[in-house]
Amino acid sequence: MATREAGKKMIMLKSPDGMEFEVEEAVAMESQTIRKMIEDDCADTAILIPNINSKILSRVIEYCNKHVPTTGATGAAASDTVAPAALAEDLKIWDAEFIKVNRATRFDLIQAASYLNIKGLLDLTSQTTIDTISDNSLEEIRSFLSTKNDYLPEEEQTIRRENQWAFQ
Amino acid sequence: METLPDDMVLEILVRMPDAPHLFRCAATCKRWWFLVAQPSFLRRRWPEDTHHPSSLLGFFAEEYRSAGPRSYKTRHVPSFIPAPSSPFRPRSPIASFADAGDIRELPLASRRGFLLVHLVVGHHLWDAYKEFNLAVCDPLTGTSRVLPTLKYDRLFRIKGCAILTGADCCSKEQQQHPVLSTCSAFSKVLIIGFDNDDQQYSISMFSSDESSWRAPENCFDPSEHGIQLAPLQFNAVVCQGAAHWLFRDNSNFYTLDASVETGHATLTKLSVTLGRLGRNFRDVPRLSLSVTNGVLSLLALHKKCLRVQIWTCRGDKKSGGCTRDWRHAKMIELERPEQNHTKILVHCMWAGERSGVLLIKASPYFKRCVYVANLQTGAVEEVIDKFCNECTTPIPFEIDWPAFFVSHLAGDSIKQAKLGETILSIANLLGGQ
Repeated sequence: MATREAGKKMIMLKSPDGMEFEVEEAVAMESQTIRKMIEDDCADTAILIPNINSKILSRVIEYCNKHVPTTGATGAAASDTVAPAALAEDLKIWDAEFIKVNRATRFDLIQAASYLNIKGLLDLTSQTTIDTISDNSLEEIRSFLSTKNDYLPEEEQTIRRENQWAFQ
Repeated sequence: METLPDDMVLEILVRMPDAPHLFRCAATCKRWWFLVAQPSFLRRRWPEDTHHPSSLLGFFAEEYRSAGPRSYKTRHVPSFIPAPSSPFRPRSPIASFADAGDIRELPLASRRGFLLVHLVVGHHLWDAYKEFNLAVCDPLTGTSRVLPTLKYDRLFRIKGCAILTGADCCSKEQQQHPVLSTCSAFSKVLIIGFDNDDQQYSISMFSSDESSWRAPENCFDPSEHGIQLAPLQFNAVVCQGAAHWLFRDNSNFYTLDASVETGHATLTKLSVTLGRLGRNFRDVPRLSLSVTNGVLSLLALHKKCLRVQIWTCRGDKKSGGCTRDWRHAKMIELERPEQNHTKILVHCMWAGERSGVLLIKASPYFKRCVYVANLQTGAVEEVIDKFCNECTTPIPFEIDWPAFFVSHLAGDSIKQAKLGETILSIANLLGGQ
């Protein structure tokens, strides 16, 4: 399935719900998992990405597409057009816009980033989650993450009393 | 988040900005508690080969406090003063030293979360003693252990000490598979005593599994060197199975290197001399550890707190990491706080082994103040506390966060005897003598 288009090698990615995405090899190789498959020559036909549905996979590809030029292209090409600092700033704004998704999608993105081993996306998704919860109280963190408080009231009291340093 | 597998929860937790945030997350539910308590996760959050400035929680110093509401006497009380970014507040909950009657608790040194305290009966400090009553305290859990009395046959002064934990004393094989709880346990104390009459240094060792001190062993023969050596560093730097103290004479530096296993000590001359450091850097050099390769390093601070020279030991690791050959590694420019750019004259300096942070005390002739300098960023912060003006010897207090989390998350281990009760029992013990 791999084809050539204007000198660029293409890779076919398949989601478990049957959708196919044709992407540049450089873009797909933003994922360390896929990079390894390609380098090990396991990728001459379509690569099936298990556990990641087409909706999430398309978003991941969108992310990789945006991020590939800065890391993939040569430094000279980047500095000819736009200053690197401005480019990074631009990317930051794009990232902030990209991650404005609901909680479920964000958690799916974390899992996808982790499975595909895309460090930038994993950093972005985890960091956004942390920013959301880090200054909240225990109750707010629990409700955001929909975790259940399984401490007995006296257990929680003991934890708080013995560790006031963490709850100031 | 219940739907997220453990691996992904850990990805989020490892990015928590600081220890209080991580601890609060652990307190949300039991599943997270157990995830955070994994030593492998904690080591990933705080890797061993990096300095963590947040390891410096603050410092201990003596505070003068009224002995009681109707008393005009003052008492010397060890106080805890937090570092600028420390999550701990002054004296709470760290320094829970109780009212210990007529015993003065003089903080001597601290390492890896332990504080060595000299228990002095009466409040007057003498120049030298024949007997030393020492205690090793864990200020975070509020526990302490009184050591057997360290006795000499004549008057001695303490010129140096090393507090060792399981991690310092375990074998090479154990180091590869460390168990955090045993690694962080108090294991040994080494004391460098100095006999003023003979000008003789000796080393004494106490092991936590023994009931008394081993007989003091002479460190080096002063007649052999023929020169008067001055100790520069009270608290030892420990690496690769040896504790190191810095000494100097008129032109050279020396390290006194004691095996943590046997306590046997030897003196080594360094290739760095006072001349090579330069006139502005020779006042307060300190030994420290280079984190990247775990070798000894020498830090020399400019006397006006402008920059720091770092020299590293080029010794082979196998030979204890200390040979004569030292190399100038780098120079770090310090950025002092704006409002104080006029006069900081450095009086004393302490280097943090875990945090890579310098604690600097300014000379009282200009501005009495304590500063914390971050060697990674070069930033210098002022510690603002009313006791900073008075404290003579601040003792930096560092912890290893992974060990701290393991001990604080491990079931019911938190419920131990409070330090207050222990100090009272010391008071009874000493009073009965």
